[in-house]
Amino acid sequence: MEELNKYFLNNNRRHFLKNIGFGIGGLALGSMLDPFNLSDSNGMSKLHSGSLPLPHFAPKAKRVIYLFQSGGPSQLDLFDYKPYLNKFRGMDLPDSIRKGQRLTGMTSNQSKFPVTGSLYDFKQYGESRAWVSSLMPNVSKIVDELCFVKSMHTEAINHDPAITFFQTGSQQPGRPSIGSWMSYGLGSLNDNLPSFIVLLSTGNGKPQPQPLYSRLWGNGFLSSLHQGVQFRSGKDPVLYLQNPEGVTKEERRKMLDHLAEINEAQEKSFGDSEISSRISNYEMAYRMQTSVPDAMDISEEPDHILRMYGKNSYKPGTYAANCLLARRLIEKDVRFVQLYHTGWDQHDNLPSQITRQAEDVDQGTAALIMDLKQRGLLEDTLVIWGGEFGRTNYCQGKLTDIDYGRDHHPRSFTIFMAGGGIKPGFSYGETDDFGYNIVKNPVHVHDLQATILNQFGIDHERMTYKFQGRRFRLTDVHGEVKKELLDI
Amino acid sequence: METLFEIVKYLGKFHPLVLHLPIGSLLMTFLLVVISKLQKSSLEKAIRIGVDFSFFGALTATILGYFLSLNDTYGIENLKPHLFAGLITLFLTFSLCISHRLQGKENLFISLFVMTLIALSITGHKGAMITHGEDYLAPEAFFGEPQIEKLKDSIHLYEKVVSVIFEDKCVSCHNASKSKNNLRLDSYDLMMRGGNLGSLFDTDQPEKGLLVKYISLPMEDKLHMPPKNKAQLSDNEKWLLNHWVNSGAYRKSTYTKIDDEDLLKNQLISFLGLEKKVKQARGDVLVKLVAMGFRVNPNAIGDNFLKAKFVKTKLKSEHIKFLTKIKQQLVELDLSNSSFNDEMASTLVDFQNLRVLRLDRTAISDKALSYLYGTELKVLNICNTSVTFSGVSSLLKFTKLKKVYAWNTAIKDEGKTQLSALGSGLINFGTSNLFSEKLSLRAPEVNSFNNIFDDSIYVSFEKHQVKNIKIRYTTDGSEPNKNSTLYMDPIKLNNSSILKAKSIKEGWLDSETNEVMFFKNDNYVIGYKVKSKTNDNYTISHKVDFSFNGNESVLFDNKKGARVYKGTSIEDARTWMGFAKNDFVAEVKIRDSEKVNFITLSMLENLDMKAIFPKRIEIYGKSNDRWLPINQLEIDLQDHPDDRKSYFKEFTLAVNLEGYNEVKIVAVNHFKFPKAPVYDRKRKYSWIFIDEVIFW
Repeated sequence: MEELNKYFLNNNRRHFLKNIGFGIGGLALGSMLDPFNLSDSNGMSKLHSGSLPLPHFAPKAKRVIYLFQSGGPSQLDLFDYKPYLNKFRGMDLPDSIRKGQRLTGMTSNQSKFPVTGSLYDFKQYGESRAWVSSLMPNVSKIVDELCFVKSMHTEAINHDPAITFFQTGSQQPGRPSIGSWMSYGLGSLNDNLPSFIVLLSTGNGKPQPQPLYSRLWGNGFLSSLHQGVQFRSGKDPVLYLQNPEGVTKEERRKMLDHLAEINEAQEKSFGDSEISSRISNYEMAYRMQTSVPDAMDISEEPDHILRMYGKNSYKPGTYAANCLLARRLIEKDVRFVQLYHTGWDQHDNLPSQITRQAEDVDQGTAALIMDLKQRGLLEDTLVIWGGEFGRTNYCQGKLTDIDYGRDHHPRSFTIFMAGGGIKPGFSYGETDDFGYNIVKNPVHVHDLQATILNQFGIDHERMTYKFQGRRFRLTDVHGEVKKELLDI
Repeated sequence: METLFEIVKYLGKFHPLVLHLPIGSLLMTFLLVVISKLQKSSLEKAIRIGVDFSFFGALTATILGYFLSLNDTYGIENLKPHLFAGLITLFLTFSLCISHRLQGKENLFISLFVMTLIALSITGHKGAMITHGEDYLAPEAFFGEPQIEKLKDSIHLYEKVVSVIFEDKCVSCHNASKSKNNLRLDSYDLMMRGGNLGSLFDTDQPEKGLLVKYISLPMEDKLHMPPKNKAQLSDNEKWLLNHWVNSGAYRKSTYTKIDDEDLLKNQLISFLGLEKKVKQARGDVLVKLVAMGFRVNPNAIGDNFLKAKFVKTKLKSEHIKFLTKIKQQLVELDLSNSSFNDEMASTLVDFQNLRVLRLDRTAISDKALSYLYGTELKVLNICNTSVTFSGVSSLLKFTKLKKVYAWNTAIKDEGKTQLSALGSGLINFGTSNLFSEKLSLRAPEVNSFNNIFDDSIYVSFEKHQVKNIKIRYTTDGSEPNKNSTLYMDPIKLNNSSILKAKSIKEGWLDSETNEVMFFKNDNYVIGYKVKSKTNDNYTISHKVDFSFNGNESVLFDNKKGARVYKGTSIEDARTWMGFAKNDFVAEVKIRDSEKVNFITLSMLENLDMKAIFPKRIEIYGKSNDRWLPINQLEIDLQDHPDDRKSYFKEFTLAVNLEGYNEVKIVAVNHFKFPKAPVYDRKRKYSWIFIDEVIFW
């Protein structure tokens, strides 16, 4: 019945738009603020372009930049200081600590698990006295803006399920990504750009990093309007966006109008909502023909900003350049910007690899956060930095004086956040002396997701989508908002 | 006895149901009376049944009402008016039954009926006041312009908050008639006395007092209060109770000052539901605002507040004027990057609920700030405007701003220091120089990859990502410096030459020099033969194999190969020649050999493609059927090649070929991956990749 009602509602809306002569151009307005719904008595609840009556409560944040560190950064070499491991370097990890933790195929054959501390110096920084290693010299300058969660834990131990879990709340592929959920629930803040944009960069840490699949930013069962759109570096940020040679803007416009007519006729007879999504996607692509080159052109950026983001900021496709782009997109009110930086998977040669890898991200991350801050954007933009899991306290492969490797470790790892109403200058959670198990304030992936949604005024238990007879949530049936992380 | 009492109390709950019977039947009967009067038809029988039924209904309702009052939820004082009115109604209904049975007292009957209806209305009204509250029907709740209540500077925490919470969640078990554990929470003094377990408060360690202890026990705990099956305290209520105890405010039933200490204030606001009573904005106003270029978003579902942003750039004063139609509702306004100016700012004064205001990148000056004095703004963004120290410092005096973003304004350094001293985190001037270091520019990249030309060539550079860069270059082999030729238009080259270019900009380190060779094709080669075999299939990407067989002509076609990488198309890959298991050996017939000064081999290294520069290049000349060595070049391994990257390099050897007509070129293969760390791959053999051999 509900579905049927929705169908009739669709029809009404379409007729409305048509009758008042807005035509296709009206769709833009329609997505900005649905005038049809406004004229009814509870118009307030529809006063946004999202699909749900949201926000449930007043939000702290409007936009997200998720700096995904793909591969699993070693928390023990970056933020989680464990002098004990240095003291007892080479000691076999006691079973009482490991407690039968499932191993990956890469270390399950190892007869010993010699623990190893970090080769890097840890120091406390800022007023918050947060621990950061020498691998992150620039991040250490801004710790008072950051909220470290040192007690993250997940269930997956391999890359793809673990990333999928972080992004979609499920280890199995097929669910909508968090950015898609956000776009679905809250709608867009900019009609000329997608509300969920993805930027990729390859790390220098690992020669052949784990691949990323586009389903990580997929819309799952939500309308395809909400899928993440990947922007590439170089001349063609969005593939097949520009008009082919010899096609003028006017011709394109005409073609789209005719196409929309045909599509609408089709929708009328079939009533498949994916058809209207398709029409909107075409329209979005048309508007993006001008908005994307504008957003991606960093030549407007003054020198001091480029210097702030470092030497890679003007090298397209690098993490630093993507950070700069992310800020530009956020300034244009893109709801969710997701960066993926690969190469954190240091199974062997960790010291030489992680040095390069950390150098990739250190300055870009710090600069991005401070740049958002100076523009007043950090006030309502949430920045998240973190990988899909952590790395083990024991060595994978041969432990030498100058070399070690670390395997995947799901039981404890560190991420950090900034802005968006998250408590700055704060460290939450604790691991044991071995840096293996969490001893205080664990935060599960679903808890993090619930907390992120909470900052957007979304009750994670109430944002659902009914699909195949079941109501789905980003947090499935779990998750708890970690109020301690919130800046009240 | 106890159970009977419980049953009686339970029956009382049917009072609200049964009371509608006499109301309905009295009205119906009255209607019958009126009809029988008007139509002169006798309905006496039906009227008799009506009044009798009404009386029994009224009687039942009254009895059940009495039962309900035993539940003591409402307090006997509140019930009295309803009770009296009810009894009068009952009595009047009874008198209706009597008077209807009396003959010839029709007028008495009708006047009694009217009185009954009046009594009934009064009873109903008084009853409704008990269940729905006094102002349930008060018209101002519906039609009046709601006033925004503001939190005053102090509040009587016990009266306004604590007793309300107790009343709501605790008093039903801790009162005069039912005081579990001898604890009563229905008045301040009784509460302070405590119960069987002692005082509710611990004077030394407030957080250990019984009140806060029991309300914060986990739900499963038997002692958790309120008990599991009763209505629970909300987070907000718990917070307030905790605060009331821990701050020591419980000690006296008196007023507490509310500082701008946000926590208490916010919690109070949400508890008292204050500052939330604004009317819903009108739909047509919103539609018009959107048409003007405002994006309007709700603050939260149900609170009627709005956030607006002007998404176009040309803002006019009538836009702002129209915006005042939602001045009650607007809590956040973003006018950044628009043509907002001082003149329009005077309207801002009207937006009394505004908390967040963004005016960055607008043409405002100090004057605009003066209109914000006395507002309740919390966050203000004035980055990239021309506000000055005096404007901002007086603004801070007359407002309660929590955060000001004032990066890139006309405030001078000493002003910044003074303002920063007013409070940490209050005002932000930006941090651009936190990481700034001098950076080097990227070397200019030549647009064309093909650097072999016939008569002349025009060379241009790619656009640098950093703007306003000067490119300086030389073509004579000397190192370019800031006095070298400035690149303006494509450079015309007529002869083979080395182009050396640098990017230069004030405030940046000069880029490295980019060296590109350009070769003029003088057609020295008249014949060639590649001696080494290329039988092996090459895998360019997963399961895509091909052979270089018969591809020799690409070496002497005066065209560079494509920019190949792992996964390139076969077509592109075949613009190259690859050799595995063999050295590259070619014999070339040339003319005008005395004019040739150099031989250049253009090669590729890409570890992913298994392509490695050769170990050595050797040149021989043929004399009397013997190959005499002319020159050779040892090639070092690269420093740290990136696995995925293609390195294109030209190796040039100076030669003197006078007297030779045939030349042999050998590129010695590593065969296996060298033992150096980055190269040490468990691969079978390495390849040599060449795309061109150039004589010049």
